Amino acid sequence: MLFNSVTYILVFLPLAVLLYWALRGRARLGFLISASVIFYGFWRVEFLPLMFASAVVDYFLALAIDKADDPARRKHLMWVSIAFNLGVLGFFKYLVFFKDTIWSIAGAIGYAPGPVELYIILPLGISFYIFQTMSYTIDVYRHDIEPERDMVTYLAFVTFFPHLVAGPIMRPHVLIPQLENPPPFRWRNVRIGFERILAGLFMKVVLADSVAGFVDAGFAQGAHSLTAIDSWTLTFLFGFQIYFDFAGYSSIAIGSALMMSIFVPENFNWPYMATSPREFWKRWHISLSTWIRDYLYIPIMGNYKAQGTGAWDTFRDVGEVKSAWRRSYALFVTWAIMGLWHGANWTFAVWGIYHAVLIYLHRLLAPLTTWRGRSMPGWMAWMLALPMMMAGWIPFRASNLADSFTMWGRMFWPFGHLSMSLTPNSYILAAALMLGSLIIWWAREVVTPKLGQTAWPVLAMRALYFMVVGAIVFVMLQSRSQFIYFQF
Amino acid sequence: MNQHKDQAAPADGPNPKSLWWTLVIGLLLAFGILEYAAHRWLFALEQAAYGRETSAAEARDFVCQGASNHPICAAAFARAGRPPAALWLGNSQLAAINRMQPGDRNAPAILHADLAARGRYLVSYQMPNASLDEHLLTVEAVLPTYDPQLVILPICYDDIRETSIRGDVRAMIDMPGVRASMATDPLGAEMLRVAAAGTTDAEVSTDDPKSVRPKVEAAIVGWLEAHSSLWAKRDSLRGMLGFAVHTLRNKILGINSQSKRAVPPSLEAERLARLDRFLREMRSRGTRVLIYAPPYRQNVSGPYVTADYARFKARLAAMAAANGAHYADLDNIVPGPEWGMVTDDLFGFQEYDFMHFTAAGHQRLANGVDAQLRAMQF
Repeated sequence: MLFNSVTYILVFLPLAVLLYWALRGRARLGFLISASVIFYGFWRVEFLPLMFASAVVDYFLALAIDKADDPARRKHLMWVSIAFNLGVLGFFKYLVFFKDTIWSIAGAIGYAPGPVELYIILPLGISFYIFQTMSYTIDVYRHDIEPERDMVTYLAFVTFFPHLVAGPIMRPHVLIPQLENPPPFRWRNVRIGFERILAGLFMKVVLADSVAGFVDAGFAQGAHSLTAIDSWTLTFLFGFQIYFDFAGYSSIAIGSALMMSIFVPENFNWPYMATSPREFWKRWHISLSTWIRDYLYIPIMGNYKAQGTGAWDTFRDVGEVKSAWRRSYALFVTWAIMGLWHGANWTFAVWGIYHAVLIYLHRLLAPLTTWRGRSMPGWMAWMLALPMMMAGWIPFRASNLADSFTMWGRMFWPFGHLSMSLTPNSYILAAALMLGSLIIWWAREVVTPKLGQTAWPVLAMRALYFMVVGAIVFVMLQSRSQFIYFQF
Repeated sequence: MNQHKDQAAPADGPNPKSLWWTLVIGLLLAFGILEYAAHRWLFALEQAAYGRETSAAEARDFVCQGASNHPICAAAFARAGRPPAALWLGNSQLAAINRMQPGDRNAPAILHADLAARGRYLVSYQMPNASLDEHLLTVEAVLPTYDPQLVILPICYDDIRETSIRGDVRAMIDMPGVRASMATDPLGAEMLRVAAAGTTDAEVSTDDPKSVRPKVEAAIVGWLEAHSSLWAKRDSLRGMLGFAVHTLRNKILGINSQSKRAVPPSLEAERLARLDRFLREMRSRGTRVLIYAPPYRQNVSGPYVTADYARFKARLAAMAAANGAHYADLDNIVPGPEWGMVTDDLFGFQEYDFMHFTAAGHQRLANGVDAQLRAMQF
């Protein structure tokens, strides 16, 4: 089911919230699982068994890990879980990619294997729920959490519909306690949940879907026909599209859960206001970047020290313990994997490595930007960081590596700045979105805290905001497109 | 279980009534404005798209847009006994009539009747601001239906900038047999790629047979349309919103219908290269092509950069000659008084119309095209 569908907004969610509050105890948990089955089954019923199989296998493996006293056996069971999860993910998401890569290499060195067509449908949300169940068994292995012995609670955790198909990726220690001891009903949560859903719908059906047409047309035009200003405009437009699309999705997920008084952590925090590549990744897709940090980056660095302390407790020791070489190795490997997590295509690997290079350069150069003990002014750092982050979206959206490198080349092509080949509205829209984002950031983060939430100018602006956003969402609400992150 | 510091649940905060009031008042105002707009403004929007003076001509079963009404045109052609057919592509210039009177016909209707008298059949596919890609995709998609002997293709200089392929045109690819047919020729295959590049994997499929999602969504939307007048007007309200944004942009930037709009050279070159491949493809199929520069208002300064436009027309003529196609320059066949104005009741602006003309202008266009067809012995 799509968050941006009438089915979800007007039928499914109101019924789900009402029944959630009407029921108690295990009946409530059973209902949550049923609601999640309906939510997922609206796409394809035949992939439900895969999701449950993945969850149940990790349920029993976690219990076995907890029961085992022998450290070697515990580790062995954890590797079984990882192999199982990555095997499922590899089959559905990467088999065609690996086959195509091997066939290409074979062709390049003179062998010409016969054509083999593989028809594999990527199950919706597989990257998200696999990561979630995998982190569950790893946490149990690390003694970070106790395994959940109640199957119903565990399945409600894995299948919880607001975050099932595209996150935010929820850790067991965040969601399971809320399912075991549900927070009480609060009207405040209903209001904020509604406001988050409305904001998310506005970001998706109004902003992201409107920008999508310009982005699609621009990329369809062909990289060779683009000038420098075209390439910059297009990459900014796609940067806004993917932000509004995914942040909109996350906002609806958070709002939906909050209506049941269930807290889902924030996934975005004004990422385009970041003043460095490192800060950007603390603000963008936070649930994934922290997952990658805790289950990939730190283990690759070999810095995970004490069981039961939580992976991020060791994070603060990174600079003190490990060599620069080891840190760089972990950085690049992590980011290549992070890229490939997003999609089975070399363009995503290049996207990941691009960000690794930026973070690496930032580590090297940041100390040089201080002058007389003062670091670079925030606005200047932001103006440097923003274009670098935006340019990173090119391989993410381009259909192949050649187009990505062509567009990057065009961005810095000194003779091609004046000619404009996109539709005129593309440039106007990019400028309007940039300006609008800055104004909204300033109003939300600077003005509102100074005046207070209940100051009359803020209240008047709130009423105006709900009038405009409510009217436009009502008019524009239609499931015209899926969310971009459904592909991952 | 550990409670990690960076993932802590939020504390319960205050819940001031004023925040509820702003939400309720804002939403009530939103629906109040929508109700007002639906009853007071929407009638004006019908005039706003073309302007107060211009109206869409009567619907005909030989005039279509895309997949949604293609079956009507295909069925009418079958009923007519599948005579030798000509396919006329176009934009709103073919569809709309300025200062329309009862009984007025547009150029496709006039030419359809003229050709019928000669045992020929004219079918027209037209869409406002149609892009060249939409035209070419349409031709490729309807070739199996009509097997036309002649394609009439206006190359509107202003529409060269348009690069999108709208859903209704793209959906023609999924009509029975079309994809397989297109894959067999180079241009068809190219248009399949162009259409695929113009969309994303994220686009929602409306007819996935294995998913219940589209069916349930359609059922709920249908119920809402039947039981809520405001919901039923959402499409029109969406159009009004788009028009308002467009007008706002023009007002802020001082753009009007006479503002010069240069076509980027790289885009023009790319479009013409694709047109060149189309002409070669049609020649190899044995399908004749008439390309023409459509009527353009001459009595006031218009949006085209004159030198660029003249050069563009010369390139069209040369390209047609090189590919065995026929070229006609019809840009001055409609005199100034037969062109209209765009008077918008919604926002109250008035400007010169460079696209739509009166029934007399349509007669001139039909005659102009017919003269070319006779010269081509069609």
